[in-house]
Amino acid sequence: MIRSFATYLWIIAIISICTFVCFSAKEYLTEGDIAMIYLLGVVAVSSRFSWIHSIIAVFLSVALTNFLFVPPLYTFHVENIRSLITFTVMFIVGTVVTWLSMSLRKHNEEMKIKEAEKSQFMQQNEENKLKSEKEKLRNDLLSSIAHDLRTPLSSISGTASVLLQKMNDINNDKRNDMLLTISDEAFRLGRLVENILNITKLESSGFVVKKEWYPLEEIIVSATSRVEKLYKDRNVKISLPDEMIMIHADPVLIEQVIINLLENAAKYSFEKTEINIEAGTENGFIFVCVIDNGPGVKIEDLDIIFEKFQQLQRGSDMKTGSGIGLSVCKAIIKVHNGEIFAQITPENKFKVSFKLPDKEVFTPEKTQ
Amino acid sequence: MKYTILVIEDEKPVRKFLLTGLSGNDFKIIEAATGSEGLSLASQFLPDVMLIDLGLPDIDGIEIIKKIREWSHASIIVISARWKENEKVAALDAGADDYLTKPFGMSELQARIRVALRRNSLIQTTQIENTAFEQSFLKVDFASRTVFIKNEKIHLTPIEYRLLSVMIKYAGKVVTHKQLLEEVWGGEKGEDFNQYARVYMAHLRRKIEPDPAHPKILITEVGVGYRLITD
Repeated sequence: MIRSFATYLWIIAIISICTFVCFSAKEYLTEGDIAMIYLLGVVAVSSRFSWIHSIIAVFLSVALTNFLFVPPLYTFHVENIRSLITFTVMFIVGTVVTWLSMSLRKHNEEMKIKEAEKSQFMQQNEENKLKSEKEKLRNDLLSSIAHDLRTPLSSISGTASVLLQKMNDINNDKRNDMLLTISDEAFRLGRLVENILNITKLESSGFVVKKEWYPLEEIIVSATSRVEKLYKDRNVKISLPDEMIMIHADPVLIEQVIINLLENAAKYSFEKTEINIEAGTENGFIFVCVIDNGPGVKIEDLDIIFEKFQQLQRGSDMKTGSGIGLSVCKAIIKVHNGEIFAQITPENKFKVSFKLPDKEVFTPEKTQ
Repeated sequence: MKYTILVIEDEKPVRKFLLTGLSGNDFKIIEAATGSEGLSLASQFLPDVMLIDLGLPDIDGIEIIKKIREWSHASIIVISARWKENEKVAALDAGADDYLTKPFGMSELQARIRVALRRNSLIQTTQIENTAFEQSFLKVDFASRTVFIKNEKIHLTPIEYRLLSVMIKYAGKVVTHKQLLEEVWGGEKGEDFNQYARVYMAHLRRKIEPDPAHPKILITEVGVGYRLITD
């Protein structure tokens, strides 16, 4: 009700403007010019309001032209045939304009609806694709998890069952050894679960990396001491520049990357050889490399070791790695906009490096 | 005298392993499977140390810590999974003294409990007049504000000295970035300020650790805070 009232006010306003223009310049205008100015008003009305309103505007225009500008003035009498033609043409043009403008609007609306439908369709298509990709990822993940968990689990349950059965037949040393196996394998299981949780966390859509400024050396030293605790016979040599490097990253995730790389190095390189970790800045990047004395993987496998669930054989005894460690590294480095890659050095060492952009600059303020 | 330890943990196998591992010479163990049971046992037995699992079915672990802290100064050691780093920090800031990451070994747990008990007795004897602190190669003389590494005097800036004193005050216990900021700079500083604390700590570590790559005294707990190691 209010809306239709407002519409009539609009129509009256538009037609009044036309009338005002015509009236103030009536000495210079012919009947035809006046008709044109009113038609402009009709176009304005028809572009916004319904056809009924437009037709009302047409009638108003014709009536006002007759009443105000066509002699005899201020009556609805028509004296000559020309004026009659003017009114008829005015009426016809007004109606045609209304009709054209209505169909144009209708067409536009239809297009809009069509486009909306189209984009909805495309979106649905995209969603379906994403869904099936996610499903595949989940299946891959599940099968990989099952494989990775089975190894430590079977040594734990196997060793425990032997202990239970032959408790008294086994000497102390042997028993200690077996208990140590159980405990080590349980911890290995724990780290696997950690990695699995990390990768599911990283793959979830709502995950946001919590970046903080951290001295890189703190993260490297902490990761190293964790790994050295697990592999007591291995020595990790750390080489860092004198300047303190600050990185803007999620420290816990970056530590996880370094732990995974060091652990891989400890697991697959020749026993008791040295493991090196180096870090520095170069061309706007912060890099960290973990280098072991090999054996490395085959050159053609260098790129695919980071792919999800690739279990390649590495080393003389062809140990199969958990497919998860390196793909976690890759996922973490990816969310930090960095890169991770493997190389065989000219000295035939196996080297895994990652670099992170160093664009954001750390600016210590006065803290005293 | 036997110390009383309250274990609040919903997993029965974990409770069982804690009971067998801890009970014996020095400790009397009380178990609770839920948060509400834990709270009532805590007020009933006034334990010396409480081990609280953060993932309890009925009450949020952080809430339990806050409730206990309203009336008790007993040591609280939190047990939690490693991938929930934020939760640990929240627990420590709520008043927990220390945390252990699942899975953990018995010797690690026993060591943490010993540290907690030692800290308890220090508090009870009300701030014994410490004039010096000694730990492996580090020696601090509080009267003259001098620091020695392997009996050699080293120079620390005023902030570094303050950081070190705070770490000594909480020796053995993990100190979160927030706690460190409050103690050294005072007041609420906001998270952005954490980074400066880290830079100063890294510098301090370079000065006091003879081999910064293998620190023996100042340990970084990435994502949580720092710990000054005591024997």
